[in-house]
Amino acid sequence: MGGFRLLDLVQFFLPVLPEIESPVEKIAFDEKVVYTVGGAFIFLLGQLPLYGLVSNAQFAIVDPLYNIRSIFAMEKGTLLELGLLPVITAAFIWQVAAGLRLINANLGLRYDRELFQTGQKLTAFALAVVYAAGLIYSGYYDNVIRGYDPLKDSTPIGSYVLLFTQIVSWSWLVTLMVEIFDKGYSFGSGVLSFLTLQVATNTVADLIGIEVFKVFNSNKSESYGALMNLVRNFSLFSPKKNAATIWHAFTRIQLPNLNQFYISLLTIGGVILLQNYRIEIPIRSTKVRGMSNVFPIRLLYTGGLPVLFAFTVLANVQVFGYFSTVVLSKLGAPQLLVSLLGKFELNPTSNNLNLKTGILFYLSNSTSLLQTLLSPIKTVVYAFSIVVLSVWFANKWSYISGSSPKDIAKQFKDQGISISGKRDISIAKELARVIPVASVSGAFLLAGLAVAGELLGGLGKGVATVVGVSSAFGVLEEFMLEYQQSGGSQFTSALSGLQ
Amino acid sequence: MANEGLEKLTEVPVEFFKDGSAFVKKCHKPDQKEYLKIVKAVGVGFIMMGVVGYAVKLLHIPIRYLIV
Repeated sequence: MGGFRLLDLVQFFLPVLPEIESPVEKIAFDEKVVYTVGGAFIFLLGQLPLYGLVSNAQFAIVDPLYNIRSIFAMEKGTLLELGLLPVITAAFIWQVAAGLRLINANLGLRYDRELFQTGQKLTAFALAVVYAAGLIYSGYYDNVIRGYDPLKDSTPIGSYVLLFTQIVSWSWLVTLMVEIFDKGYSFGSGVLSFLTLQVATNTVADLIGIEVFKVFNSNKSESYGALMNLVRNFSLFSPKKNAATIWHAFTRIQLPNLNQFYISLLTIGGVILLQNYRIEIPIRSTKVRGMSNVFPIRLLYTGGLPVLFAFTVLANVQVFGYFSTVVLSKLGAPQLLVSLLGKFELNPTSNNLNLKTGILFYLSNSTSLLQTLLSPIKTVVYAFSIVVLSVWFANKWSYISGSSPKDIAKQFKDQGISISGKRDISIAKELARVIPVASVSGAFLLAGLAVAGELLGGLGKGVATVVGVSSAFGVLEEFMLEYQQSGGSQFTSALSGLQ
Repeated sequence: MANEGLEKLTEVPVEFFKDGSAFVKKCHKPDQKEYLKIVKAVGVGFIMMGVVGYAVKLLHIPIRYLIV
């Protein structure tokens, strides 16, 4: 077996898989803007409904995954049914495997890096197939397929194939678009850019969405946006009705409510505050005398990634847990075994499948503050697992991401920088004292913030906001850096020429 | 033996919190003026992105009627 690596297995797929070519020369600032906007536009188009379902299927689908949707941009009953879940899961699997040295990859070598990326893509493709097949097998779409009655007709294989093809091919397309972003055609990382976009769009839509939907299992129709609905139903003459309207705006489950919005707003403020906590290490140039500056080390050294990692793990537990309960009960396993894993119960007002008991129940988030208080064991287990996973990942990540103390020390040396009052050799030591502490405590605080939002009943919105805002900073920073380096954009100079 | 193991187990989180809180105390924190400036910048960017994204989402409505 000597010299055999798991990574080498990937090379058989290299010629088959579509690949984005790395840019030959540096992409100009304006071109990057065009790529970013174009990519974002295509991504948003993914929220078109699936062909072959009844209209407004998103209200009739019985949904077991409602609590992880907003984190992974999974839109119910649309092409983006799987959202970014396959891409993110695949990326984390490979990164963690490399970090734990389960696969032996030298990411400094070009060929290894290529294999590594292809492996990620392959995993994302495979996961998309698994998730889509699982969803369809579990009967997720059964009551929304057009012209199909689950009680009378036989299995609608044609519709199943159609749905499967749509979901999987769009998920593959998203994977490739993420690759375009990641290979330097655009600002920042693909996944994080898409997440930020999704969070921003949803925040605005949740507040002022003007579309009117018929509420499922009732004869009312309501606006999508929480504020919009409140304003629409507000009447000056019946204060009694207004109280009910306001109460409803905060508590409705099927459509976004104001409660979620305020949680998001608070979270945004918190993340921005934490983002600007930093330690400034005084540095000086070894080449030019008298040049001195500061090198900031952020508290959120690893950004939103640890939190995203923790939720990715739990989301996959949820998804695969749900699939296994369905498979087990379809195979006729004893009821006790199934309910040990997780027992789902339909909530008729929101059409969500709520977890009632079982292992999965303890690893799922609360739907409301009330539930948080009523089941304290679950609350503690859930919060604890998120925080521990985040902290663990942050600790590992600060060593494997190419920004470990050693790497930074090397960068310093290459650029002729040294820490004031320290000798060259002790730079790495000095950095090693600060960086791991920063990344770990940053991840701890951020995870705490995310969990707090969840426990208040944010239904994943709080987490999505934490990740979205903290990655928006990364994208924004890269944008500003490029902007300054390229000496401004041709767009702006063209615009200023007009005046 | 068991006592020692237990001590080690509690030592790690205690150390972690000590280091962490010391770090946070040492941190350079933004003052109110700086904070508000950043909030404004990020907020404007966020809302702009959201409004554009939502506009694209609204485009879906006519398409939806065409295909469903």
